[in-house]
Amino acid sequence: MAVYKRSYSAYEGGHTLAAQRFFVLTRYGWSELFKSRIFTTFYIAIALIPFLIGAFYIYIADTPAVQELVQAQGFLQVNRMWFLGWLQVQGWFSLLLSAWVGPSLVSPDLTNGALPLFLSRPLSRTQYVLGKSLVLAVLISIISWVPALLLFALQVSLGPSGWGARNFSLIPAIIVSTLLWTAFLCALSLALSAWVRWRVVATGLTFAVFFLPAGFGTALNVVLSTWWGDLLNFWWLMVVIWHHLFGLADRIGFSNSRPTSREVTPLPAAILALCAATGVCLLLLNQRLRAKEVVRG
Amino acid sequence: MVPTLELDSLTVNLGGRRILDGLAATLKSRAIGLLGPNGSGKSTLINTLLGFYKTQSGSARVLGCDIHRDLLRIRTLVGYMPENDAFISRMSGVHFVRYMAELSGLPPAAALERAHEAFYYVGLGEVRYRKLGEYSLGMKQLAKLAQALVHGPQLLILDEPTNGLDPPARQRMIHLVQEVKRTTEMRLLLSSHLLRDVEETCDEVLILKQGHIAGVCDLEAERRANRKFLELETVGADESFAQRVAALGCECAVLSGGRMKLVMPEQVEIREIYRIAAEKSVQIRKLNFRRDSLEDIFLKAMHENGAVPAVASAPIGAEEVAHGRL
Repeated sequence: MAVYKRSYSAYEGGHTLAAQRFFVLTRYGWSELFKSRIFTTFYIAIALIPFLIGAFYIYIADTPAVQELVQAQGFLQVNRMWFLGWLQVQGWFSLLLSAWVGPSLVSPDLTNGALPLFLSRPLSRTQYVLGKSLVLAVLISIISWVPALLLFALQVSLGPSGWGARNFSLIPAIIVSTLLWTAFLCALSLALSAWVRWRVVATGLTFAVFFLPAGFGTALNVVLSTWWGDLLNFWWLMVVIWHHLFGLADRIGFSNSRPTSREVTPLPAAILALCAATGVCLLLLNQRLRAKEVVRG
Repeated sequence: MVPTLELDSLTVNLGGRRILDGLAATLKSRAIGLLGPNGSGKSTLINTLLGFYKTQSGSARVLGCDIHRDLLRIRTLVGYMPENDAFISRMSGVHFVRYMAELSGLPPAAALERAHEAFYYVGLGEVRYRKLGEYSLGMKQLAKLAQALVHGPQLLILDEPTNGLDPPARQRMIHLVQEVKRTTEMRLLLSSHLLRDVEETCDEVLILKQGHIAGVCDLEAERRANRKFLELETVGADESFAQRVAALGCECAVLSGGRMKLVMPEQVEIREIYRIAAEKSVQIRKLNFRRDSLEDIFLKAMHENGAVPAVASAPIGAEEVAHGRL
């Protein structure tokens, strides 16, 4: 039917699968994000550069001839610590990414009251959250666990025989730890985006959530000589989880400029605290994501 | 035909207050109006039908689908135009409507085609690439209508569609709604506090007052029943004229100033009245078919259920009632 004809006809074509419909939200989210050249450049940079550096490092570390050429015999090693360091760098980039992407996820739908239009369609609130979360979750995955596994595969193919078998537990460690971090970042970003409508403020708050409680927690630790304050430091909680999952629990503190004289945060406490923070974010999101607000009184 | 809307003791509490109290009715017409003063529960009823609010007790069915069991099915069948602003300001009109169409299940290519069609249909074809944030209020209302129509729903729910529109824009919106009703098989559920909007577009009206049903009125039946209700303005009409007219089988009331009101039986033609007037040398200066207006029906319903609510009558007064605004 020609578009210039001003008449109405009922739609008689096919429909997409209901279970996949939330992916429309994700697709439109990406399309909005990648309209910005600055964002596209930034994203390609944080996705490609660390991966290429990692791949180059592995190549040099596993090629004695090249090591001899650059006179770096024995210095370069690819082990669990190396993968942990690489993933932590990408963990920081994930935080930057969520501070950039997060504020644009939900707030535009809330600012001009578009939420009832979404939720009056065959789409549940859970699917809405899932669709919006996937915008960020997939972007984080592409810069974190996916390239980490590719680097692992590269190391297995170039490294000494038996390296893969000896370090096989790195695969679930990489995936589980990154998914945990991604879930927390997604929940935090969506909650802040739902509650704070100004983009700059939401971005600032994302960082504030990391640094302010962490500072308070550190002060608490010093004053009370305890580790309980660490529960307010989300990055530190993730560091603890990463070290345990990577089998490097005895190295906690060495690589993160943290005094080791005190007792470190137990793994269950770290996991529980991070899950609790994610839960609080989801509760806040649940409060906000309603097609219609009810005024009590 | 499946009733458009069935309410079964529907009760909704919000914020600790009872907003809808045991609503029970079956509405079968193609175009249903929800009428009532502000705060009577019209929008709450619509939001409950869409699953935005939980029911305290009772249930409702939209096109035969239960709001508790078949909510997603209802949302598939319905196109909703909310009362307040609802758009994403940085998106172009056609992009936004396409987005909504895809969320309703249309494949991307079909959604794009339908989005263009919907924009032309509502008369916004020329501005469809402009950002929604730059639209005027009237254009935003039409864009909301476009997104409600785009996926070809079976029931179009319009919540105060003429809110905030100037008279020409209101007229355009009403014409569109009438056209939708006339040229498609879509059913309509239109909520408004404006009598004229409902009267011009609906066949059946559910009148709400303070969360209760104050009346259900089949406007079509009323229109048919009152087809032979006549008002006359005459010069020279007296009792003998009235008796001759009554002898035809008409109910007749003579008022002051030569005015008369007649209810004519089906078989009596108007020319009979003219013939008697000629015989009696009575001049008929004005002859009107009259029917109960929705205003009469509404006021009757309000009075039958107690005094007219303060918000409806006190601040607005007779002049605004005359303009059809409650």
